[in-house]
Amino acid sequence: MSAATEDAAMPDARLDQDVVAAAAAVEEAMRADLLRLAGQEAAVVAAAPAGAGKSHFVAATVGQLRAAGLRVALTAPTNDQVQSLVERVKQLNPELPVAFVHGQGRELPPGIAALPGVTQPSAADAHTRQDPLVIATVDKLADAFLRNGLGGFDVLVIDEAYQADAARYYTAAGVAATHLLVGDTGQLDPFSPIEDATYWRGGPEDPLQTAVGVLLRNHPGTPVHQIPVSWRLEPRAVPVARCFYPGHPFSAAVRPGVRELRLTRPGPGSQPLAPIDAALDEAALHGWAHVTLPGAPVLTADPTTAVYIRELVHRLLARTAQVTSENRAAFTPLRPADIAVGVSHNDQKDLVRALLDSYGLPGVKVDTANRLQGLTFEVVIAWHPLAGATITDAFHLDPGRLCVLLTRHRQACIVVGRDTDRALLEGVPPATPGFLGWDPDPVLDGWDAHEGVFRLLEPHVIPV
Amino acid sequence: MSTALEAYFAARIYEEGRALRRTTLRHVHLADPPLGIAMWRLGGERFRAAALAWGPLDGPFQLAVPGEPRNRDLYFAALQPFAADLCARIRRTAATLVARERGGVTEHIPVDALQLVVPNKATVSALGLLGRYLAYLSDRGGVAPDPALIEAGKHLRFYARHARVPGQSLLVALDQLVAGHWATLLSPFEQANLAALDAQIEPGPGRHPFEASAAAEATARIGPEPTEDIDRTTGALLADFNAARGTSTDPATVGPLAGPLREHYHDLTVPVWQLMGRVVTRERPLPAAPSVSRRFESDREAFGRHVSWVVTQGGYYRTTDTPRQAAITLRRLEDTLARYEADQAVEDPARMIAHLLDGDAIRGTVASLTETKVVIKVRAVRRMVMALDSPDPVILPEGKRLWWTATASGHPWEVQSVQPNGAGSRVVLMLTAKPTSERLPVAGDVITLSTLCTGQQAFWLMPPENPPWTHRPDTLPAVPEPIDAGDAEQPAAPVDATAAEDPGRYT
Repeated sequence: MSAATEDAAMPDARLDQDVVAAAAAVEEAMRADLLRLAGQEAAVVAAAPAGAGKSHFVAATVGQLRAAGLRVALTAPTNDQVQSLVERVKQLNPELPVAFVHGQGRELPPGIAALPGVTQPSAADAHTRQDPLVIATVDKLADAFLRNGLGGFDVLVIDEAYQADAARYYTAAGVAATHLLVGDTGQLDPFSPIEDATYWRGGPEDPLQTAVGVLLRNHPGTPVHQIPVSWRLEPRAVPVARCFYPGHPFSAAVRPGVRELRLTRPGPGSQPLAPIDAALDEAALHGWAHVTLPGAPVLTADPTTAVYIRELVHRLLARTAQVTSENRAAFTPLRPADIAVGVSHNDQKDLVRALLDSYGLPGVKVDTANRLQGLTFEVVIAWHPLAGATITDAFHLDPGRLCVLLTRHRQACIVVGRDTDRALLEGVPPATPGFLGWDPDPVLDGWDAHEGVFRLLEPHVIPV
Repeated sequence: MSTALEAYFAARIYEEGRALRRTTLRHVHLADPPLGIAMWRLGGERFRAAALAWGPLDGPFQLAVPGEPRNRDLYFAALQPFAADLCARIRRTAATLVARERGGVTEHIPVDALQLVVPNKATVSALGLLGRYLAYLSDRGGVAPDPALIEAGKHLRFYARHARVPGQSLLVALDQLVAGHWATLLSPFEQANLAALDAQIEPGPGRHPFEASAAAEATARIGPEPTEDIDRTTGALLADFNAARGTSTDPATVGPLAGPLREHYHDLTVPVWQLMGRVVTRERPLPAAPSVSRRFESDREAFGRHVSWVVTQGGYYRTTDTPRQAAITLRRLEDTLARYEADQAVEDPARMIAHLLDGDAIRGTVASLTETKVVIKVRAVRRMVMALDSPDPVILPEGKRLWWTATASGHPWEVQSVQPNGAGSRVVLMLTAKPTSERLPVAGDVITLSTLCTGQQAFWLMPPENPPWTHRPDTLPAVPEPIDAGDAEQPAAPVDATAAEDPGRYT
């Protein structure tokens, strides 16, 4: 959601004004720090919980930096993220010229490309013209810097900076002296498929530490601001989300009861639909439902789970769901594009995608957690990472993966797993290797986060 | 790893009573013979070799046993023959060069590279630590260590680091080689025991692989970590040796005294050596995959560069990577891994099975090929549309890009639609490039397409030499002390458990 532009028009009663004011104060402090440090080799870090309005903050800050006459490079790790940034910057700063530098076949969608003032120059042209605001992925920016000399910016702004790794940041960092790094600390850390990706762990050279990690390691005096608000999550979603942000207090901006998911056609339908309707009713009423299929060791792309998810989506739309929220006073129909299915593996994604397509639901987004980062939907159906697993491992326990899956929604989230999943976390957590100079432990943190989430979802369990 | 394939293998192995091959080809180069190395550590001393065996794997091994490995003089004296032999073999192998044309440039790379074979991955780490220790020895007390020790240290360090490269063949850990080529009933933890792996493949007449590998685990000693029984025997022999030698390090005195320790380690090494030889002999006859020679050429290139740097130029390696080196290495390893996985599946049908089961690949008969025109940007271009009939149901989203295994380094096909077709599916795909005869199958061909591409996906530039300010510390870290600081200290006396204070008093 776009924060400041919309909150000005919103009735005060819908938002918790204390939370909004605290967030605004932090944002102002960050901008003040950044303008004070501009021109120096220094940085400001903005650590945000899920849905903190980072993109809005980034777009507004870019506008202020440009108004101060500073040349800005704006970047993020993925193509989807930077394309969305172009759109967001133009929404908040319609007059601002934006040069989008992209890789081959990665042009802007026509709707964004047609916005006035948006150009898509080559890196060489952007360098020659000295475009004052360039937006590109971290990789493309680094490539343009090395290949075409595109640099000399006053400020580099990195969105999703906890997703960007130190190796990619190494090259892109050279484009400007002063940096603003904005990111969500709860999301997935950078990862690598190589066998011994922990080889450098704990060392200052570790290429897989986050961009923020390498910056703070080398420059511990860098100011770090914690954004204390989530615009996306509503109060019922925040306790679960807090499992992923220890030491980072935040609250929902929207007041309880402002958002509502209404299923206009009542359930239950026929006998086979009863558990599905029960899950949808629970989610509509409480914001959460945890569907537990009978425990069984299953394949990663378990057809039973995938079919169940398809039926949930299909039934949700069949019951003509409607939503209202702080910026939509009247109830509006829930569209397929408002729904996402979050999974952990590509084969799960392909299976659910094919099943939804077979029901004529191509508009429902299906993707893996790492590709859902930064996106928002009204309703999310999350395929639990531990569903049907027989053992726990670092990949499936990763707190970042579960965090992404459970924090994309504005109205409701339905978690689909099996009734034996929680038992995986009984007993003693596994022994994990330690690394000098590296405190986090994704396995133990994940163990803790998963346990907390299971506990909080317990009142919302719908056994099948 | 495909869960479905692993489940299938587990059932078949259980039924048939022996491990099954995962591959139809050998994906690792195996020299004839490679240089084998086996190693033993002291239980409490991870950074010293208590015994080191080496030699061409088709013959007997030589054994270096320092007696007391924590004594620098004894340690170096025992390791010197190994170091000298290793250096000589490496120099000799690197001496013969062959010209290679690449991008209009003629390079000279070694015609061969010395291949080291060790029983397990733990030995790779142990050799890396040994190399790291020897490569940076200081001139303590003005007495320079034998140059062969330092050079051997650099070689071992290079080999251990190169072992991280996916698909490399310079330093082969046999447990990984076997686990990669055979499906067994062992867990990943159990697969680290080469004897248990071997027992799954050849359990012996009338024995189930469960029993065979359990027996092997109970009795076989592979190293480098000693088991408790080895350590107990070693401890007693070491105590006798130290008592007998006093403070002497004179080879004439110490040599005969170390006899029992040498015999102890010799007896431990003989079965390991036989096991290593048996494993290599079993794997070598398997035909090498076509890409093995290309990967070994990359190994030879790295080997040649290393020898040139260390031997010709007397160079040293940094003890740790710079941020730039780490970034480059990570990217290279990721690229190499992707290419290695693609090479294996594209060349070896058995390797493709996992991808077929996981939905990353489809196999079917070409039903038709129809040329069409599509508008790309503003131009109408020729494109080929292929209908493929798969006997199995296919689950693939539209827009998914797949490479035909015959042109896996070329242009992908894009999924246009998937429709049910009897018990299977009809998949319609479009080639994303101009149709030419070499890019196209023929109607009636049975072909496989997968998400795996063996071509270069992107050309990336080297990061800047000078790190940006973000990757430079505010204050430089303190200079570390020499790696062999403390070597002159007497080893700590062994603890007598019966005389130790009752730990209960701390509670």
